[in-house]
Amino acid sequence: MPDDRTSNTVLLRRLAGGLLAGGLLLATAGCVWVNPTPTRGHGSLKLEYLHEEPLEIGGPVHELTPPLAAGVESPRFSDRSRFYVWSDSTKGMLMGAEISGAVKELAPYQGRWDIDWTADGKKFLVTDLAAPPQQGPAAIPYRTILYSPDGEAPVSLGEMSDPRALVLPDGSGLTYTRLVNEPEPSTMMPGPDLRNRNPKRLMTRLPQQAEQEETVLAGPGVGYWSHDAQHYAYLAHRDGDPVNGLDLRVYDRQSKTSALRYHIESDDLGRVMNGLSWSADNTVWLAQACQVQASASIAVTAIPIDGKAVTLSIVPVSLEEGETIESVRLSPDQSKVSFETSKTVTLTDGQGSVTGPRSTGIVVGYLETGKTRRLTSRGRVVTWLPGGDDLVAMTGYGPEPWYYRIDIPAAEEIQ
Amino acid sequence: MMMKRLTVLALGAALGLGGCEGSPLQAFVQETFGVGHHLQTDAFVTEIAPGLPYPSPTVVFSPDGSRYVYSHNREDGRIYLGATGHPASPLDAHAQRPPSWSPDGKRLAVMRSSGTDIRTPRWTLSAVDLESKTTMPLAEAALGHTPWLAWSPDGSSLLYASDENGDVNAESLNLVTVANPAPRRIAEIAPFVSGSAPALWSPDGQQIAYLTKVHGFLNAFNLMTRRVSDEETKVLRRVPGSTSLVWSTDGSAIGYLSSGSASGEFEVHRVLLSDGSEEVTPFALGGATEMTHASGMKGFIGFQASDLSPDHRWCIVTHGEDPLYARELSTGRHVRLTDRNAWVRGWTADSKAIVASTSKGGVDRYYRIQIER
Repeated sequence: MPDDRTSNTVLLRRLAGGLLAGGLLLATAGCVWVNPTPTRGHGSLKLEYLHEEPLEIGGPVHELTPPLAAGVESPRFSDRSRFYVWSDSTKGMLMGAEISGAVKELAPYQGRWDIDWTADGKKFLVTDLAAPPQQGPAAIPYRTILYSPDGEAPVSLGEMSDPRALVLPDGSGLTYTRLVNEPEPSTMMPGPDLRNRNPKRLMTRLPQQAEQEETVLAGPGVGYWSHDAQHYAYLAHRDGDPVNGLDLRVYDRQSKTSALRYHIESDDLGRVMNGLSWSADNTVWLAQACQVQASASIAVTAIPIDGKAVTLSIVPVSLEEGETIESVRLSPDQSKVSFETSKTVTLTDGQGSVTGPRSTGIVVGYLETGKTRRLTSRGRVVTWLPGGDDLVAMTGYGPEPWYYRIDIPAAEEIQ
Repeated sequence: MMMKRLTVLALGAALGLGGCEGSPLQAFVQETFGVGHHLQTDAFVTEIAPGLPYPSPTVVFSPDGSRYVYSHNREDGRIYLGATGHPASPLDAHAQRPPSWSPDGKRLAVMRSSGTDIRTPRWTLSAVDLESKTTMPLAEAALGHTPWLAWSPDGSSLLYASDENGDVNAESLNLVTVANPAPRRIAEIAPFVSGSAPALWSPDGQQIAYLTKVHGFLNAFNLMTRRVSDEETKVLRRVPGSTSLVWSTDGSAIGYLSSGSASGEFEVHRVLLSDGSEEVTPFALGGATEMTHASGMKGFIGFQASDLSPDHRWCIVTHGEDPLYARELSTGRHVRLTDRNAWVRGWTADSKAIVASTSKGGVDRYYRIQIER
């Protein structure tokens, strides 16, 4: 068994060296352990990567008012309301304010998960732990409460064991998805993204009623309900394989049937979902970037639930070498698109490296004229605001970003 | 006075013997008291790179398995060369990435960081002749975030990617000949995708395969082939990028493993060079099972199928800390390879063995593990 011998020889050699050196070390009580080649951590690289200068205030760029103070957690903005909501951990309170308005204390929270707005922007759902978190494993349910910025009495939509519930856009109840084979075993080893490839059950639950399975969605099965909560537009892998792109399908709640409405040559769920929205007239809108090296355009397609999909506008975009288009979003009035440009940066110091995209600015494009205007030289869009005349943006990649409100110039002001 | 002398002498001796980080003492202490495990060796599982320093570097074995090299983490990347089964000795060459053996085992390709500006990292690519112990510079370039190399089967040329403009969607695929090092850009390729071979040589060295970006897709790429003789290029098929591509030793297909739509389901894909069509063979290893972690947390753990062999006959099956198994893909037969789990580093060129490593307290041991028993 030569390899046992090899292994044992090395072990014995190490053992002997170790015992001798260890004994001598013990004999020298109080001696100093020397590290001749101290290594440098990668913290400085990470900090340099996370740093982004704030925007200069002036012209169309305004500070967000009221500002978000230190201790604020996960502020939520929406293109359905000018009211924004955040958790203040110093007070244990859910707070809110209308843009340029006064701050309101809304309610105490235990462990906020998410916030979701109704289509009319008059109410928002908060999913929050039903009791304070405890030490050790404890199955605390989540309460779902519908609040109103106007101070109307909150309405409970019941408790959920899983916090991933959204409000139906008409405010009538909750909606969520479950894997077909849930409870899903989540593997501890890195492996396939089962959640994205597996079919899901689309569920709804109205107050005081049992949950309803609406339909089964093929993976990845992510989507949005229409404003009247009667249709659900979702994305499914064609033939179950992500390399074949995404089918946009629309589920009809009345007939309980789904139909293929459009095909999208992409597997980039985040990007496609950013550009996907409903308008109140039951049309699905898709804003997508098409880029070949430095030549790019934004295409906006309207997909009515009972008609033919039509690409209404193509906005040409010129980019610098190495720039890519990120986060295309259609304004709520479907007249403009916003997007960001970014370049990938790699910081290396010989002992490690950090790689990631860095924003090179926010751009707005006008669907009617096909023109574009660069609004900033850095930062990211958080959301459009209702009406499409301004948007909320942020800078900073770290835990305390800066927020801004940016006015969008009217189309006729753009040469 | 006498006591003081003894103390100083003991301290000096202790430090000289290895009281420093990275020393044999450190390796001994780490391995003795550290967390982890090593494999039991036997006639089929043999240790092949003994005496590695702490923390252990990545070890690379020569194609015939007779020698190994590593770049020492604490000596500015000094390269150590050893005969398999014996400790390694230093060479007068340095690298900041694991060296790459030429297929004939006569040379090493090494990459050394040469830039000082952290925003534009640059690397020098060189070939080290192991007989003459000379180093020949081949190219100097921005090699991107995860530099890699691919030797041609005859050992005359190297493929590497460079990223001069920072474009997130594309890098340049370059070819350099060792005898006449004038790098030539031959294609635009997708940036390195984790787990994937960025570019492959056909076993006869007549063709190159590589991945290019498909617009709009994050994880789907066009698998391209290019004939070396007349540079004819074609799209073979669209494939997922998060897979390791393996050109079969008979040259007929490029294969990869993928996961199915449920836990424990897998597929072997073989893209045929003749027409780009695909043979897909599904197989199932079983669903995820519940387990309790040492911390008391409960979770689920699933099977993994990985590391397609060069002849497309085998893959490796793992399940948590369970032993490694080889699965014969045509029959579903499983061969138990080890007494515990280990990190599979790759196959030998003849598909008869794998190289795997274990770690205990940051000290690695490498093993050659024979498949057939």
